[in-house]
Amino acid sequence: MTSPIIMLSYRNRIAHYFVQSLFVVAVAIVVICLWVAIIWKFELPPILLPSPLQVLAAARREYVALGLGIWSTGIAAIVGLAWSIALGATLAIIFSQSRLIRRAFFPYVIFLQTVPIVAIAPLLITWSGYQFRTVVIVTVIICLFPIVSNVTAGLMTIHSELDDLLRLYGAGRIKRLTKLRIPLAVPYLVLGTRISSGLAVIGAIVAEFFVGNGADYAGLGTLMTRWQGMQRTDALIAAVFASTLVGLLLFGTVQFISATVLRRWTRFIN
Amino acid sequence: MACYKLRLHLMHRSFTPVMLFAALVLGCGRSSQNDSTAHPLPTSDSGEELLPVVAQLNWYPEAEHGGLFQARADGTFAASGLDVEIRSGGNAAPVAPELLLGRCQFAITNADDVVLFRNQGADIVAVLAAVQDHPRCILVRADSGVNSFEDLAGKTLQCGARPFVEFMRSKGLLNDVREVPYHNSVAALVNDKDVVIQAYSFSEPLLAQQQGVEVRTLMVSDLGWNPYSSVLITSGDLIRSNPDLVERFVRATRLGWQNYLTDPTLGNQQILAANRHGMTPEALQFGGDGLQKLAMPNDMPIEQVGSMSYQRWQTLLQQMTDLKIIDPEKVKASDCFTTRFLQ
Repeated sequence: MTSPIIMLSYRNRIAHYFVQSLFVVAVAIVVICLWVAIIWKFELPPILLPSPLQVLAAARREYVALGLGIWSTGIAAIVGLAWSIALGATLAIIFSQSRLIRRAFFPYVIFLQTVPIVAIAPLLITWSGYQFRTVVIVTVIICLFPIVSNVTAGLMTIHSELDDLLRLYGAGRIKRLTKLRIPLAVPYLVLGTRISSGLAVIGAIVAEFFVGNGADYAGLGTLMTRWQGMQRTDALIAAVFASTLVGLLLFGTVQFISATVLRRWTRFIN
Repeated sequence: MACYKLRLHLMHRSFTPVMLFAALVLGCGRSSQNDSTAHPLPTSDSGEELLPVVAQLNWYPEAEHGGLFQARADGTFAASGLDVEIRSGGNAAPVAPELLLGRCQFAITNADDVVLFRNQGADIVAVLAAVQDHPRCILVRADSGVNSFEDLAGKTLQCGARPFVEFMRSKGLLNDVREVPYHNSVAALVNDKDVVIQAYSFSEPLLAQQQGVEVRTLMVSDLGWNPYSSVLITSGDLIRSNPDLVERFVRATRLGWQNYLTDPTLGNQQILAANRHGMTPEALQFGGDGLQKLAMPNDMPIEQVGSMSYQRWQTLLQQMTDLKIIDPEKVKASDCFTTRFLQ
């Protein structure tokens, strides 16, 4: 059986994307109208909530700083996400090999998920210093859990007929892992990475709140702290949008890779 | 089947950013809606009854807010017909939004913040400046080898994103200094002699000494950066709609400061009771002593406590314009403050 998605013609897909973007634009228009209406109705001064135009003007004034911030935070998030994928996938493979290991270590992986990162960030700085590495470590701590958890689930999924078939052909444990379980776990890796791609940006920005200019670069988190200190609500909101842009770019990249390079393995989830 | 998949696909792809956006805007809108209706401004003097007034602090209660606590403790506010609630501030206390939304009628902040607020179009006006010389300093360990601002090169400075940092930068004093965020603790300085921190001269030096470290202070005011501190602010709206209330509050606060600087016992009792962040009698004693010089520099007579001059505001405005953190078209020194309630 072929997936229905594959049967969609090229033309159909263009139409679908068009409809999809129409919805997105419509929602954006509604939200911006609501935004302006709230300011007008409650006569809010710009220091409380600047208008979309004021935010746009602030973004244009600060486009160099914002561009560099997007670049720095983006790099930190990508490096953190890459480490999380490598580390997470490795951990998941180890976990999948023994119930004992899984039982012993999984609670600690959950610990990573539940640890209040804001509380331990100052500690991490004491240990690792005011530098890029600390930002990456914070990002990895935030991103790791969804990947480990999803990939482990993928590796543990039983495909008994296929497993039996491979056994029949005399495949050993390693061969069955590399030829069967790992390929079938790729969609789960993509799912985990998708969740983590948004978290990576949050992790990088939170870390930047603490690391600041000490890292020799000014990410979006550093800019946000600076503009908050200078009472610049318009620039602050522009930075918030810039950070969602980084998140979208990262999410889009993951999506793109899963739809192209990994298509063979991930067509069921796209 | 294809249609169902498509719909799932649509939801999945377009939901996240839009929801974030909506949450941001709706969140802001809702909170402001609640508050604009909840606290109507007091309108006029109601005879015998005390008029409820809220004053918002910019930080946890400490010596720099002494005048307000003193005026409440010794009955000065009550004698002016005011029932004053003093609200504690904290990290990034939003004093300007609180004032503009009418959640409070008065607040405490620094003069440079008044300029920043006005630069953002917020009609905030200073009505009394309790502390003439700004307590802002850079705190260094005695064994750090730092004796002047020029010696800071190679050190790590824990500081916030504040105008004074920009001022130091413009003087070339931060060229080889690593700037990192300050987290309201002297711990890093105590642990490492190469760490220097932003501080208030009447507060953190004692905390460091109590941890067994000898320290020195480099006063930023010596560099020429000296905005008024512990500045009492209100909204331009309230000055226009109820000048009588503002006048009563300013007079009482000024008297409170004069009393506090004469004998801080009553005010300090209230500060100790109101501060839940580890304030001690020793710290308040130290703070009060340090504040004396800053509130009444150059043998200023106690009757003049709280006064402001156009010259000082103009200097600050010029400095902030030179630092390119404000637009001189948007802020005028004469709009930032008024001395009409100090006469």
